Amino acid sequence: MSQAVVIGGGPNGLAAAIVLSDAGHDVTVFEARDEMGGRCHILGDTAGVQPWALKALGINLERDSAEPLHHATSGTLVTVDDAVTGVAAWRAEVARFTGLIASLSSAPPPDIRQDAPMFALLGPAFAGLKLGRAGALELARIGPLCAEDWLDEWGIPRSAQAALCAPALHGTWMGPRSPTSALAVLFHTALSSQPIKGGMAALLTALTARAQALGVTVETASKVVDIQVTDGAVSGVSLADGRFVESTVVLSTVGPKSTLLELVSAKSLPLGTEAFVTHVRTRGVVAVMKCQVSAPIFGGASHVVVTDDTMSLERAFDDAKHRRLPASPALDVYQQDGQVSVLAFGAPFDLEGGWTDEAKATLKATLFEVLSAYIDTGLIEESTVWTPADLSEDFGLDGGHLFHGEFALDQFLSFRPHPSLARYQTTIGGLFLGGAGMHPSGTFTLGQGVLAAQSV
Amino acid sequence: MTMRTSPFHPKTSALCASYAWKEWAGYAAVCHYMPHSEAEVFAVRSTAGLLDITPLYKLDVKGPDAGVFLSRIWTRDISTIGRGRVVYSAMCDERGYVLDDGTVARIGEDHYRCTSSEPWLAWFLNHSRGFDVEITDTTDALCGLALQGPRARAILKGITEFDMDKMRFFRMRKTTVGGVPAWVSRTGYTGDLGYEIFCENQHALALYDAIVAAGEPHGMIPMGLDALDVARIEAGFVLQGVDYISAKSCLIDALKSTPDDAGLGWTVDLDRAPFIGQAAIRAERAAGPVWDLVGLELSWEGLEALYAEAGLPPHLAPEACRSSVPVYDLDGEQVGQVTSSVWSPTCKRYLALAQVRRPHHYLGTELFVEYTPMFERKRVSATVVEKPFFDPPRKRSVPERPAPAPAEPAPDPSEEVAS
Amino acid sequence: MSEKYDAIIVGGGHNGLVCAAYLAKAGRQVLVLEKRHILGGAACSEEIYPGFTYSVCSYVVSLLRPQIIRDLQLSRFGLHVLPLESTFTPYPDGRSLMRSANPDVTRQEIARFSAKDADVYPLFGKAMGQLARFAKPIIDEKAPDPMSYRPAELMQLLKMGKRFRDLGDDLALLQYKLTTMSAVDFLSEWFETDELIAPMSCSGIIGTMLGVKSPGTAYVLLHHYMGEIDGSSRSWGFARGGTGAISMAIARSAEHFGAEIRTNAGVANIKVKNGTAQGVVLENGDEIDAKIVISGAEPRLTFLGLVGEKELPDDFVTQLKRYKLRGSSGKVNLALDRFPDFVARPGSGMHMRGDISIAPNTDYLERAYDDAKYGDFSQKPFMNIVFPTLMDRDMAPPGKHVMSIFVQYAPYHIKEGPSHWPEKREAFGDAVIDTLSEYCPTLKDSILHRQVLTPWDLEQEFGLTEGNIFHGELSLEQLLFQRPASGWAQYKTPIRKLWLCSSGAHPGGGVMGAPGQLAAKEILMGGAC
Repeated sequence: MSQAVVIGGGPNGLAAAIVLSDAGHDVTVFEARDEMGGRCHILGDTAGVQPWALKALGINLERDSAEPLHHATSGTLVTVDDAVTGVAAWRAEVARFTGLIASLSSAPPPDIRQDAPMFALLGPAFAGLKLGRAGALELARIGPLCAEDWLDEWGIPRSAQAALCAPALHGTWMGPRSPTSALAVLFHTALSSQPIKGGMAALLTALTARAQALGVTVETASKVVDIQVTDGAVSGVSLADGRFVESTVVLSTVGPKSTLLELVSAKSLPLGTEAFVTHVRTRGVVAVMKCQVSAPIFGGASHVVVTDDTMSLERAFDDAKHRRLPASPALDVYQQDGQVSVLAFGAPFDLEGGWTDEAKATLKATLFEVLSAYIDTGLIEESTVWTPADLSEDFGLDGGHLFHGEFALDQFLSFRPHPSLARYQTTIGGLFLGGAGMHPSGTFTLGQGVLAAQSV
Repeated sequence: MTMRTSPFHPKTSALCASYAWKEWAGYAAVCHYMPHSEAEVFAVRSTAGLLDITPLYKLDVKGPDAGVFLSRIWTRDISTIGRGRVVYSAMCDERGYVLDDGTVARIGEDHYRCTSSEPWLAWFLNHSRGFDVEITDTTDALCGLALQGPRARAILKGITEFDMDKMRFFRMRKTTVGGVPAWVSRTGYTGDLGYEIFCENQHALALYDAIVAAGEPHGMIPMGLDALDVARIEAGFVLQGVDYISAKSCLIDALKSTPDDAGLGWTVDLDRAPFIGQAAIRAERAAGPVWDLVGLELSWEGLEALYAEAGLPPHLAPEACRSSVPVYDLDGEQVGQVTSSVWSPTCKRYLALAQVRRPHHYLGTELFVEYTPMFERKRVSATVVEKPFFDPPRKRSVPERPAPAPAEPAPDPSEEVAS
Repeated sequence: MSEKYDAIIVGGGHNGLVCAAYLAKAGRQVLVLEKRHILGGAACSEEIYPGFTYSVCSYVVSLLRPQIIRDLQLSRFGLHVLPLESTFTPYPDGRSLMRSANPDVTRQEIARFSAKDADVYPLFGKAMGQLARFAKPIIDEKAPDPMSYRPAELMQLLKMGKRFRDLGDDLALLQYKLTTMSAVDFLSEWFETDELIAPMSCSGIIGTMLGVKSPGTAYVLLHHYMGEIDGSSRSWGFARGGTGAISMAIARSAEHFGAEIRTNAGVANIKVKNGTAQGVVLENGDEIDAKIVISGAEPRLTFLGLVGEKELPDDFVTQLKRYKLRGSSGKVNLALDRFPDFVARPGSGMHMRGDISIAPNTDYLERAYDDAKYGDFSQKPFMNIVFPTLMDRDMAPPGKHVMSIFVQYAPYHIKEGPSHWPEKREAFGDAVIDTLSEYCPTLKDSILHRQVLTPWDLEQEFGLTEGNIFHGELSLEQLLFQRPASGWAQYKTPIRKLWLCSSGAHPGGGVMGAPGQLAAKEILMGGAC
């Protein structure tokens, strides 16, 4: 039985702890905040949680039957379902690639370094072959497209496109007119099935219970401030309260940047490691509002996208790109048992002038204004807003990014966050990375913690 | 667009009768002041030569972590050098290939100054994360002169505040020279007794005048890069870009050199805290380095014979040659290349620096070097000999008693001066 | 009465002319038909204003293939390319940056902004040079067909794969990042100064409807490092006599080898019978037959315009309709009665004898793109300027100058609709001159003549559909084996005996001549005519 430390008590931290504990380690999870759960408290989309991940964790959760996608656009609430032009055919197209994407996302990414054994590429090559040459070529063609062009090809109206794109763009630094945004939409859609019954709250409860059952020790209000490295291997972690905890296995679920650039002192980082980690792009463009509602909004729909069409989605991205307060952010609203989570796309981490109280208040007012076109905002009680700066401060998210790092063609799969780190092991003995900044990416999957822990 | 000039330019250009300049690190630098560099070479070995070394790239590193930081960058362990000491070192990339060679001086408790042939500010900054250091490129903020030759100490003694008799080899001191605040180090690139003096640009002209006034009675003359080239080959010193190429500039690995390849293996303090290139150098040494940089002496009889064959008297100008020519083993297989060579007026021998494949690097190994007296390529025999070729005791010695005052007349530079 | 040739080439643009010259050199009877009164297509020089010669559209050359110059003996026929030695960027606050072939001068210039970036600049150049060596062979070979099982195709793919792996981990990753990232993001991993990143990133968006912060714009940076002039690596060059001189040299070479070239001979349609091309019908009604027909025109124009949808297979038509053209650039050519000083660095010295970019920072460039995204031309456009008269005194009377201004963005699809471009032409020209006047205040008063070309004009006059200067965006999904359509990227088309040799074929646009040469090679190798 060896002592293992998991840094971060969010979904990936709990998942990693469960897997490690199940494998025989004596696991302690250190969470900086006062409560466990991390991003479970602010995200709302559980449709991407992978069944294989839950199985590996020994957790059984019921799924809700799939609900149509609700879209609040130009003053009305509609559904984006197969009745909308092109949507059915497009979904069938996505289904064509789902097998490949799902299989890639359920295993560590292939090792593409020069001295990696060639058979590392056989798995994905095989999966690619199942697509057939035409399918593989089509995937290569779609990847670089912008989402709008791709969805135009299927004849989907621009307003419905916005509903299909918006949830996929949170983890990116792209708008629907950005090249490669089609890949982001493809991955997000392919990885999403049905939401978990009970939403994020149910997921968190299940994770916590399972961890407890396996004897995992969890400590909240315990921020790790340093990872001690001796002779090229981890020897333990230091906490904010001054304690030092010995351990030869440390699995960090905070971002790769925070882990390798802040928690590990620069002097003990193996030469050459840090250079590329500084380049990992983590530009957060999403602000979050969590609130309670006294009565169901949007007719009780569990997920509503609030934005007019791809042009307004693009303008929201432009606001973030130019470091402005979003005039009309695109909203992703998740509703579960009176708890509402609003993800507002268009709020830049590096806002010009900084996230002052005034800026935050303006943002909040904007959110209410956008919502007021569709719901009675008087139903909203107790709302908390996290700007990207708050997300960074409170949840320790690099750049305020909800996924610890942008999804991009050079920051996904074997490249996430870098070819030499993509398989969860660092060059420091015993130090592993297992947060959202790792593979798989594209949506909230719960896969990173599991895969990272399995690689220990 | 005109070339940049050093703060000493008004003085040096007035003295450059030959109008022979070349570009050095973006600056205009004198090749030779006299119509030929011979007189300057003789001055270095008999009296003293004064060279403008402003174009050297300089980086100042300050801060509590300066020593530790620099130890990561350089192959020498910088963290152990004391105040007032200077070391010569190489600097490698992660794969163990040499990027540059230069000196590191510990000017103050937490203040070091590095000199090099290429600019390295970005390299230093990129590797300084997490170290409490402040890195400044002082290349253009400071100007420098090298005073080299047997009379160098005597010349400076009269005009420096610090007692130059007490300055040991590879030590340095902040003092005044001719009333001007300056950093003086007993270092140089000629392999002789000599000093390098740096000061802030506004003092340049005053410094130059002071040294010239003190030096003239001793027979000091201004010296250009051509003479320096001859002297440094005699001293067995490698020149980046000539005897090895910085890995930064190489498009392919075959052109790069490890410290052992470039004859700089002795600068590597291997077993200590990690430094850039350490792992690679360890691996290379375990497998066995491929090349070495050796000193060769070409056979005088052989050269004479080649010229005689062509019906010519031997014509060996005392000018350094940087043309790379092949080196062959006794079976005629090419085993390396000469990178620098010169007929040494000081040693009266034909000397060369060459990169050769091991095991042809052992002292006494007989080899052939390509030589072209007339338009046909010939070969002359050469032997691997000790470096440095010229290493006078005065280079390192400290006087037992005060040095004589400059009462004797300046010696005739054309006379041979015994070391 | 119809004559019979071995090959008819529709369009006398530079690619069509190259193709003609190679076929004629191989002994074929070739006829080139150009609808305009002069040859060259978008690579032409014209005296629009008396005494002044404009390189009307294309105005610099870089990748004109050296083997084409040698094979067609172009220097003998008047080709003389002068290297553009510098690139100059003035900033609104009066500072300026010049980067030139001299590394020390460049270092000092950049050091005024950042000493660190000055150090990094040559390292970046070296890394890009190494990547360019990897990528360059791609331009000179036909695109491999990944759908084919033929050994030759598989070998080519394997060779490409091996060359990629031989780069080593670091360079291979850099190549991948170069292909996928935005120009600004890619450059930001090396440089810290926005004023340096901005002019460097612009080359990534030339001729595209994308911004410098859009993914996929980094790889075009490689063009800068793939340039060759007279066998040595240089970035950009200027042809004496303007870009048209290049086309004329190729035309003279083609005629020397026996090709026949007719101008004012527009083709109305390509005769197709039973899925086979027979010849062409001219606008004046004449019919000319040939063993094969080769189109040097843009693909959509060729297939949907000259051939007709009903002759083509459905999936090919779908791909063509999806083919992204979306012109984004315009051109302003000025005849000046004196040299307009840039206040940031007055005079017509070395800094003006290269290209000049109005690209002061990345936000400026991105806002210029945003204007276009929403259907308008950029109020404050990005510009790339050359004064050809500083290199070639014959382009204008003594003391007078020509100013060649490439402008982005001028989107073909303006919100009013493309056909409304003529109404906006002058306003567009004014926006260009007004912006430039901030940098050279004496400009307005020195203008003798102004020619403004909008994307609409480029389409109407030069056959560049939607005003796209490359016959189709050079975006990843329209390159290599997907250009102009998947399965039809080796110059053959779904119509038997109809070939494509234009920039709409691999390797794409720019004055390279490669599509023309590679098409000729395919045609001759296959014994098509």
